[in-house]
Amino acid sequence: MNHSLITSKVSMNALQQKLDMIANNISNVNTNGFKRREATFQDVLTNVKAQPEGFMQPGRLTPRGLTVGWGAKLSQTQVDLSQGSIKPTDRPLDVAIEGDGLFEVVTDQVGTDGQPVIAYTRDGNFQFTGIPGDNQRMFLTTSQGYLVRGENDQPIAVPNGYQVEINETGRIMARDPLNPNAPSQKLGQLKLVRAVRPQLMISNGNNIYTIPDNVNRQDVVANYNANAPEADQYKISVRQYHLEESNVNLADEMTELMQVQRAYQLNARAITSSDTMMGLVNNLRG
Amino acid sequence: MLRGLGTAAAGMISQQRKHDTITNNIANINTPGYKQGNSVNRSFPEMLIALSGGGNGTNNDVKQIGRLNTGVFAEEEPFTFVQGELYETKNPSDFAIASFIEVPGVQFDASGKAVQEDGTKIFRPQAFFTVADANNELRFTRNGKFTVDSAGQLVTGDGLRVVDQNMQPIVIQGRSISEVKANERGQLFSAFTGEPILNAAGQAVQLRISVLDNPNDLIREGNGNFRLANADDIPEELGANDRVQVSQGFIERSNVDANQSMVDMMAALRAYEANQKVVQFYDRSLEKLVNEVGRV
Repeated sequence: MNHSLITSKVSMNALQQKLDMIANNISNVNTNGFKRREATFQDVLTNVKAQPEGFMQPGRLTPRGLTVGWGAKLSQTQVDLSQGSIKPTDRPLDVAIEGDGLFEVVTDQVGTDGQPVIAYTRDGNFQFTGIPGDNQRMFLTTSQGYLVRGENDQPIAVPNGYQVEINETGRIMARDPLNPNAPSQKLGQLKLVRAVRPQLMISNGNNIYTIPDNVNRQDVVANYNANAPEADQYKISVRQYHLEESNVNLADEMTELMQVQRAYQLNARAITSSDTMMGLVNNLRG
Repeated sequence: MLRGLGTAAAGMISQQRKHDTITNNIANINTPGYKQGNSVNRSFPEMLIALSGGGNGTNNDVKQIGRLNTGVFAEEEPFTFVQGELYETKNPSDFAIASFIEVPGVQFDASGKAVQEDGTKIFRPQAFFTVADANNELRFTRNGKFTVDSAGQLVTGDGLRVVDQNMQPIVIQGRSISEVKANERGQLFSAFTGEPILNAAGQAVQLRISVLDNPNDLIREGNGNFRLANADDIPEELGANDRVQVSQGFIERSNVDANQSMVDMMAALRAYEANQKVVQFYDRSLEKLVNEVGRV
C-alpha cells in the first residue's frame, strides 16, 4: 500500500477536527463568558525499519534503521481561560468576574451519587427565578435557570421587589425601593472558586464546566475567600452592571483557519500525487 | 537477463520512500516542535563487470569493462534541526526552546552543519526538554505543549512526565500553572512573590534541558519524542553559557518548509515516472526478444 496516501488521509482527518474547533470558536464570538478552545497536533507514532549491520556505511549520519512517519493527529484540546473584555450593561443582574474566578451553580442534572451536579461558569448573565411554594422570595439563577450558590453553598434568595447591589468582593446587599430609608439588607456572598487545573474540567455546553466523576473537586478548583490575607494576589473581583464577552479573537481564529485550510490543501495535493504514482504502477504494462 | 530492469524498479521504490517522507513532513506542518525529515538515497554496492568468454579463458585474459551498481535504496532519514519560529499562545503551560548553541572555533551554516578542514562534519548541538515515560526511560522533545494532570504533574500531550534537574517529575502543587513563571533557563518561580518554587528537598525546581552534542544520534519515536539508541546514555544538562532560551507561553512551530516540500514532492513524482518509463522500455526489449528474435 502507498504510505503517502495513508499519511495524508490521517492528517486530513486531524485538520478537519481542528477546523471544527475553530468553527465552534468563531460561532461563539458573541457568547458571554465563552472561553475558546485550542487544539494541537502531534506526529503519529513512527516505526523504524530495521537495517542490518552492513547498512552502516561511511558518510551515514544517523543510527541504523529507517524511520517511517505516519502523519499527524490531534493530540489534545485545551481551554484558554484568558480574560474576555468586560462590557458595561444597564442590568443589575449582569455580573462579570475579573481574574481567574468562576461562579458555582447547581444544575438540574443528577450525578452518579444521586446529588445534583455542581457546575462552574463565567457567564454572569443572571436572572431571578421563583421556586414553587415560595412566593415571598426570588432566587438568583443563570440564564438556563441553574441556581447560583452563595458562600455557604445555599442559593441566594432575594425578597420580592428588592433591588440588588453586588460589591467587588461578591457581597450581595438588597434594599426595598418602596422603603428607601431602611438600611440595606445583607443577603449573602457569591461563591467564587479559582480554577487550579482548568484543563481537567469538562465543557458541558450552555457555557458551564463540570468536574468528571473520577477527579476530586479540590484537585481542580479551590474556594476563593475575598477576605483571606492571600486573596489580594489573585486579583479576582466582581463587577455588577457588566458582562464578560467571549475571549475569541476573530483575527486570530481567521489566521488559524487559513493555516488549517492551506495545510489541508497541501495534504490533498499529496494524495493526488500518490494517486498519480499508483496510476503509473498500474500502467507499467500498458 | 537485463540488469537495468531491477535498477529502474529499485529507483521507483526509493522515490516512493522519498515521497512518503515528504508527505509526512507536509502532514506535520502544524505540529509544534516537529523537525523536518530528509530522505537520503544511496546506490547499491558497486560491482566489477568483466567480459565473459574472452581470450583463452584464463584469469589474465579477462577483459574488465568497469564498475556498475544496479540500484538505489532509501538509506536514512536525518532530521533538519533548524530552529522553528516561536509562536505566542499565552497559555502558561506552553513552553518553547530557542536553541543557538555555539561551539568555540566552529562556524555553522544555516542548516547547523560545519565541515572541518580534515573533512569531518560537526553538527550544532541542540537543546531539548527531557521527559520520562512510565518506565522512567528518558525521551527528548521540542514540543513544549504541556499540560497539568490530576496529580499536578507537568506532562506532555501523550502523558509523559516532564522532569526537573534531578530527573524527578515536576509537580505543581497547591497552585495553578498560571501562578507559575519560568525564567529563560527553565527555572520556576511563583508569579506573585517571585520566589523560586521548591521541591520536597527544598531545592529550586528547574526544567531539565538536555543538550545533545550530535542531534543526528536521535531516533524519532513519534508523538514529538526522540530517544537515543542506547537508553542508558544520559545527555548533559544545559551549561551556564549555552545560548538557549526557554519561553513560557510560546510554542515552537514546525520547521517544515512548505515550498521546498512541494517542489521535492513534484520532483519525486517525476523521477518515479521516469523510472517507470525505463521499466517499460526494458519490457519492450524483452517483448522483442521473446516474440521476434525467436521467430522462425
